[in-house]
Order: sequence, then structure tokens, then C-alpha cells
Amino acid sequence: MIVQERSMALIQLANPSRFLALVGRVLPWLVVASLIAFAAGIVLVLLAPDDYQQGATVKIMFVHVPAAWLASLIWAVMSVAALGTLVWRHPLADVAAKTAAPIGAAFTFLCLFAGSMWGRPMWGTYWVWDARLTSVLVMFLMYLGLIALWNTVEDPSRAGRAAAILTLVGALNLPIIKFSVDWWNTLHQGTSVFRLDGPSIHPAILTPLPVMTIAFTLLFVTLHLGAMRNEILRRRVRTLRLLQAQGA
Amino acid sequence: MMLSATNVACVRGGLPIFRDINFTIGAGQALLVTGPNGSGKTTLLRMIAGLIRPTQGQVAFAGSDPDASVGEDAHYLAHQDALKPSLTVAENLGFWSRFLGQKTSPEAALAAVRLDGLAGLPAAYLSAGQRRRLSLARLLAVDRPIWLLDEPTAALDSAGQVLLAQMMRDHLAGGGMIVAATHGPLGLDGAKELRLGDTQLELDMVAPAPPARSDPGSSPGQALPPQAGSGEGSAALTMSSLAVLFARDIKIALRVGGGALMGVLFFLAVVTLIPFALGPDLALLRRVGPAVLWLGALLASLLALDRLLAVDQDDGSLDLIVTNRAPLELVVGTKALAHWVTTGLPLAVASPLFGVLLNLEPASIGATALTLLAGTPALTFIGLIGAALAVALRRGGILLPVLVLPLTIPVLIFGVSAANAVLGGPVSFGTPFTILCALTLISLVIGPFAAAATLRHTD
Amino acid sequence: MELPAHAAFIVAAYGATVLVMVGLIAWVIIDYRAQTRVLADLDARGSGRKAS
Repeated sequence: MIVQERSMALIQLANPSRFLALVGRVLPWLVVASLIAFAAGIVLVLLAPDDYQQGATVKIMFVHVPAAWLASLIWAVMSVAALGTLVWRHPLADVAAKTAAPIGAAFTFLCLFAGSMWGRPMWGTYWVWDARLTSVLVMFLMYLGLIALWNTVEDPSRAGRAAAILTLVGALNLPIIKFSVDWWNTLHQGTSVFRLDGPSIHPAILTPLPVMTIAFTLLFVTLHLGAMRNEILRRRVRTLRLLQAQGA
Repeated sequence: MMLSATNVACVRGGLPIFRDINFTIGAGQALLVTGPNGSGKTTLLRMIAGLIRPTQGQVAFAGSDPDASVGEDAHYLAHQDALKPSLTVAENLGFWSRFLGQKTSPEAALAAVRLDGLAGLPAAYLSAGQRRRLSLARLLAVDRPIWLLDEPTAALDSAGQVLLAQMMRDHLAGGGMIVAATHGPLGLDGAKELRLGDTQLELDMVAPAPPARSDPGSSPGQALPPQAGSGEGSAALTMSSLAVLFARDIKIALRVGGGALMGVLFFLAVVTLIPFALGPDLALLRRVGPAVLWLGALLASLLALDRLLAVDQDDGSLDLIVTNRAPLELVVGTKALAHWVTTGLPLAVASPLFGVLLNLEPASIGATALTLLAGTPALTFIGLIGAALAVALRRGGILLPVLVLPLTIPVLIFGVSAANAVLGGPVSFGTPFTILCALTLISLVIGPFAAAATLRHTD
Repeated sequence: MELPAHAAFIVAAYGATVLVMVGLIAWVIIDYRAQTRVLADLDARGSGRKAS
């Protein structure tokens, strides 16, 4: 039970203080950088020409693709954090992992939703089981499962170890799932090829894409560091409460 | 006031535990029940509390409301603490205080056991001794004449034992009675002693006698005396107890480890799995969509059932709830309702989103959501019966869904039928939907009664 | 400016983006305030913290 950790409580208080100071200094700069990147991105999005087939709906790509990129990137970040927990026992590793999960789930959901909005004008239906969307849906399920795991176990370090294992297993599985879903999709397809980015897109349309991707990534880093700071504070509260219970 | 046992005997699982138990204690008197492990001390206490019916003889509390059972006038302090780890110290005590009918707030009780500084701390953080002290606070917070204490000094440090001894002396001085199972002295002077386990018993020495009281339909095998508690005052008390229980169950479900939205996640997983099995043919998915949604909701409901009663049994809360004034049928019905709000209702609410994944038309989505809204309560209340069986049999796991599944088939049939009817075909929406609603209403009645009967026939 | 075809979907997609972003930012900010408030409260009550 929690009782055994009371002796560890003091150690846990000391380590992350330097990190908190660092976040306090860096965060304002990151916010500014994100704002600038988004401003530039929005301008480029508005200026980009329409696709001759899809019209303006192609511009949904500028949120759908960066969101998809972030979904995968964040799982990679969690995987590195998972290694940090299991292999190097770094104290901040499971803080990084726990806080990344909801952000990753949110962007995965955004990817799915934007994909649905893109698909409706293209194919007349809000959802298709095409290979890429389906893989992202499975990844969304795995994100939610991970968050459920974090929220079911009260003790952060036990939850951290279990979540780290699940994250790494998930990371290994995601390419396998992607491959299987591709195979399944081609198997059942028949005639039409469902590809969200269409048969061809003129490169001139794509210029906002890198900028938006950078903007989204900067936003993620900002959010992640802020959330990590919150989690460290939350654990500090928990530790203080343990000490408080010890005294009574 | 007098608490007496007359020729009480007990046979459990075919084994005789004790017989010829006789005692009488009056106001201000204490009885220490001693004996080696396994001699039946806990069984005797549970018998007095009303959780087990004696094989022979009877326990009576003279001087109280004749319709009330002994348990309603007693505090039963068992080995388990009946504390919920996700609720704070104050919330735990506040729940029991309000559920057991006390109107004043329990702060004084918390201060008396020196836990007032930890009032806002989740109970999971407490040590074993602190948990035991919180249980003792319950005895101070709610006034009851009889205290049934099962090895109350366990886990208490010396300061805690001094506190306990003082509490017991104060209770006796105020005219209360104590029956305590103990291995050692409790610091009570002048207490009577009842020693169990001195004679070897053989089965034929203990024969079931005809029931002494004129209870309709009672038998030696029946475990609990029928719940009583009549009068207008007790009706209001019952309603407030049920309301408090409902609020607590929802609170627990929404906190860490509560599992409130886990069912929805499972539902999503099932819905995602189907196209992998059937292929992404949108036309096919649209046809089977309502059925897939119903199957997913049904499985998610079944899997969540073990949360309904088993947790309360494990931490001892169920014992305290059962011996209280509120009728058991209403209690389990309230728990089932809270369970549906946190498990079944979210499934119905989430179903339109998942219907989009299955390419359903808006009319289909609406119909399926409506049938789920009407049908998931039936799934929960039928599942309540299975949950009670699992508690009675002390078995969990996959047995519970297996038992309940066949009972839910009618609900599934009419739910899917109504949802599909919107797409056209020979059947209208109204007929199966009406039958579905009828099934739900029937389950709202049968579920709690069957579950309560099951819980009463166990020990 | 003439509205592009399927404007509703583009708006929905970007609108959802804004909502998600605002939601995440709000979550981080509100949680920060909540934790610092609880910490200040615990400190004020003298919880016996020994490390700095």
C-alpha cells in the first residue's frame, strides 16, 4: 500500500525542483514562438490556392496532417519516456509519459475529426474505413487505454511502470497494426482507392504544411512542459499529504 | 433494555460451530466473547447483528422498537473497515453518519479519535491503525445502544487502545451495551465472559428446531430476518439513506479507480473490431450497425457488473448496509441505478458517435440511441441479479456475465428489432419498443427483489 | 468573397482545432492554478515539509 512509500517521499521532493525552474524560464519563450509560428501558418493557409478537384476543402489537410504527425510523434516521445522509466529509472520519465498521453489523445481525435470533415465532401460519408484513418482510430483506442491505465492505479510509480510496458508494447505493435490494416484494406477494397490526399495535389498548395507542422509541434512542447510542471506539483501535494498522515 | 440470547446454536456448512449459548446483558453491561481461533466468535457477533440466522434459539433486544431487527440498534465493527479508498476521511465518515440516520455532522467524532487534521485526506493514505480509528469514529458519530466489536484492538497502537478503552467505558456509562470478541482483556472491569470452543461438538448434537417466532416463510436455512422499520419517520430516513448511498456510489465511480467511463472505451473497442472482421464494406456496416451497437453495449454492460456489489462485500460495507433500516430491495435498486447512470447511460450517449463510424443514417442512429437508453437499465437491473449471485457464491470473473447473458436475450432481441425497424420492413418501431420498455420496467422490479432475496440467503 | 463549397466542413475542422487547442491550454492553466493553490494551503497549515 501507500504506507511503504513514506520513506521515499523526501527523496521525491528534491529532484524535480531544477526542472521546475527551467520550465518557468523557458515556457514564455515557447509560447511566443508558437504564436508566431501559428500566425505565419494561418497566413500561408489563407493564401494557398485551392485544389482544382477538391476546392477549398483540401485546406483541411493543414490541420489533419500535422495532427496525424503529432499523434505518432507523441507516442514516440512516450516510448522514449518509457525507456527512461524502465531502463534508466529517471525520476522525470514517468511524469513525461503520463502528461503526454492526454495531449496525444487530443491530437489523435483531432486528426480523426478533421479526416471525417475532409471525407464527407469527398465521398459523401462521415467515415470510411480506409487504411490510414483506421490505423489512427486504433491508435486512438490505444491512447485511451493508456490514459485509463494511468487513471486506474492511484500510486504514480506503479502506474508508471505498467504504463511504460504498455507504451513500448504499443510502439512495437503500431507498425504491425498499420501493416495489417493496409493489407485488410486492399483485401476488401474492390475498385476505388480511398486516399484522403486524393490522386494528386499540386505542390504549390503544400507550402503551409511544414509551417503548420512546426507550429503544432511547438504547441505540443509548450503544453507538455506546462503539464509536466503541473504533474510535478501534483506529486508534491501527494507527498505532503503522505507526510501529513504520517504525523497524525 | 436487555440484549439476550436463548439457547442459540449455529451450524454452518454442515459443521456445528456452537450450541447452548445463553446470555443476558443489560444497560451499562459488557460481554467479552473469548475462545481460540475458529471457535465461532465472529459468527456469534454476526448472528447478533442479524447477518446470520441462528440454527436454534434466538437473539432478542428487549426494550426497543419491536419491529426493528437487532442490527438496526447495533454498531457492528468487523475486521474490515468499510472504508472507500478514493473518498476522504471526512467523506467516508460523513457517508456512514448520514446513511445510518444521524443528522448532526461527524466532526466531533473525528476530533475524538484525533483524525480531524486528516479530514481532507483520501482514505487510501491511512495506515491500518488510522483506518481502525476511523471505523471507531463511526461508533461515536452515530448513536446506537449496542456495540458489537470483533477484535477491536487489532491494528491499534497503545494510544489507540487507550482511546478505545475510554470510548467503551463512556458508552457503558451512558447505558450502552457491548459485546466484544477478543483475545485479551479490553480494560473493562466487571465484564461478563462467554467462552466458546470448550466442548467438542458433533453434528447430531445440534438439530434444527422449529422457528420460534411467527415469521411468515422463515426456515432454518434463511439467513436474514425480514427487514422491518415501519412508521413515517423511518420512511424519510430511508429516503435520505438511499439518496446518500446513490450520491456516494456516483462519486466513487467518477474518481480514480472507479471505472466510470471504462465501459464506453470497451464499447468503442468492440465497435472498432467488427469492421476488421467483416470488412470495410459501408453498405454492410450500415445494415448490421444497430446490431453491432447493441452487442457492444450489452458486452460493456456485462463486464462492468462486478463493480456493482463485490467491492462493497469485500470491504465490509455490504454488511453494514444490509443490517440497516432501509429495505434491502431499495438499497440494491439504488446501487443499480447509480451503476446505470455511470455505466449504461454513457453507453447510450456515446452510441451516436459510434454509429457514425458504422456509417448509419441519422434515423438509424437516433433509433438505436433511443432503444439503448430504454434498454440499458434492463441490462443493469438484470445484471444486478447476477451480481448478487456472485456475492453469494463468492465467485467473480467470467461466471457473472455467463449467468446473466441468457437473461438479457429478450432485451437484445427487442432492442435491435426496434432500432432496425426504422429502416423499413415488416415491423414498426412502436411494437418492439413498447415491449422493450415493458421489459425494462419489469426488470426494475424483479431485479432488486431477486437480488435482495439472494443476498439474504447467504451468510 | 464568395464562400467556398463545403464551407461548413472546413469551418468545422478548423473550429474543432481551435476548440481542442483552447481546451488543452485551459487544462494546463487551470491545473496549474489548482495545484499551486493546494500547495499554498498545505504550506500554510504547516505540513512539516523538510526538504526545500
